Order: sequence, then structure tokens, then C-alpha cells
Amino acid sequence: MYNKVFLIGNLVRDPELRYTPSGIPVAKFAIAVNRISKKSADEEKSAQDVDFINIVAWRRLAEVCGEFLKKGRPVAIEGRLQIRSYTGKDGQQRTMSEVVADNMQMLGRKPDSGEASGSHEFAHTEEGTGEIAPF
Amino acid sequence: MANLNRIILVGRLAADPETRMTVEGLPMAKFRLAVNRPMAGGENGVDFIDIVAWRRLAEICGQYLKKGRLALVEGRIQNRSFEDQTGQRRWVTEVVAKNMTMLDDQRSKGFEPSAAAAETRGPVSEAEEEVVDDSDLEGDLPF
Repeated sequence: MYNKVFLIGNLVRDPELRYTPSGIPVAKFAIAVNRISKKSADEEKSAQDVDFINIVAWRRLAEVCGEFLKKGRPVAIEGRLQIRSYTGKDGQQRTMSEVVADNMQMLGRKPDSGEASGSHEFAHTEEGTGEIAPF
Repeated sequence: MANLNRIILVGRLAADPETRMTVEGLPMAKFRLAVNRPMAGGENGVDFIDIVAWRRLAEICGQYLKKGRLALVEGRIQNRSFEDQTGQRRWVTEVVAKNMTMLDDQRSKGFEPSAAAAETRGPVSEAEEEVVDDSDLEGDLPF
């Protein structure tokens, strides 16, 4: 079935790059996505005006994220929304959501060089690994 | 910074939608969508994603969606926190629907023709808000 997410936001902190026991790179980070303020939208009155969305990237994309993404950078993410359940410290079953990225694009300027970075797009290219939608 | 938050889901309803009115009298519908993961190698997965709809769209969801129906939902991801009975802070992720389309064969489920008109009316009213969104978006494009 279809599950596609498109997000643009800023990194809340530096990405965390790790390797699974089998050596697959995994990058985790969160981006802050501002809500477009709608004063008339009653359902948003009580809610905060930014969503912090967890992102996870695998393999080559994970390495690229770990290398180039920094706290505060604007970034575009394409992926799918995944709900995972886990057992909390108190032994209770919890669910957490994350967006599994299959595409990442850095936006804005490179912070160090000052030159326009243009569009550095890194797509997840390893197909058939069980993580990627086959379309 | 122009931010973007869009999601498109196709899945089946895990249960009938729950509808209620807020204290302000605003219709609200909640339901859970079962979305199969696109797994290539054997392992099957499913994500149960909570959807919330408001106003006219909520009424339509409550009226026509039933457990097992196939639906396409467009909206945005929202994370919000609340305090549970033990006073602990919990986070929930839900998709706030802007648009919903039923994908089942409607005739086989006793779907009435008049309902089709209602279905198109609902999402259109939500779409009007989206136009306002887009103008806001363009207004603060920094690059």
C-alpha cells in the first residue's frame, strides 16, 4: 500500500550515525517542522506550533546524513511513516513513530564555505533490500 | 524558512471511525489505518497509523468509512503530547487529514449515490484552506 511523506524542516541536533551488528549504517535525527499558522484553525489552538519528527536513514544515505547534516540545517526528506512498538523502561509496551527516509536533500547554504550549495541530492539506491518501496 | 509537512497514505481501516464533537461543537473523527509496508523480502509489516479529521471531512469519515474499507488519506504528520493517568508525559503521532478518498468498490457495500456528492464536497472545503497555506508558504521563501 502507499505510504509517502514529504517534509522540509531544520535539524534539531546533529545526526547520530551508528552501525548495526551486521555492519549496516543507520543515521537517526529529528527535524523541526513549523506548522503554517492558521489563526482560524480551531483544532490547532491548544497545540504547539512545531512538530519534531524523528527520521531514520539506512546504508549509504545514513553515511551521507551523518557526514553532511548538522544541527540547524534546513533539509528536505522524502520517505514513509513507520510506527514501531517497543518496551519502555517500566516494562510497558509503547509505540514510536519515525519517518524512514529514502531521499534527502540539503537546502540553503553550506554553513562553513558560505557558497551556495545548490542541490545536493542523495537518494537511497540499494533496491531489493527490503526497505525500499518498489515503485 | 518555508516548511513542508505532507503525507499520503493508502490503507484499510482497522476499526470503525470514532466521531464526536469538541466542546466548541466542532465535529471530529478518529480512525486507525492499517498500511502494509512495502517489504520486498518476505517479512511482512504493517503500520497502524492514527488519523484525525475535522469539520465536514470528519462528518464524511464518520458517515461512510467502516472497518476494512480501503481509503486514501492526505494530510500532515502531527506529534503531540499529553499526560496519562499516571501523570507521565506521552507522545502520540497522528495524521491530520486534509483529504480523504474512498477506494473500495462502493456499490458492493451499499453505497448511495447521494453520498458521492457529499464526498467531493467535504475535501473541497478543506482544500480551500490549503490555498491560504500555499500563499503563506510563498510569502516567507528565503531563497
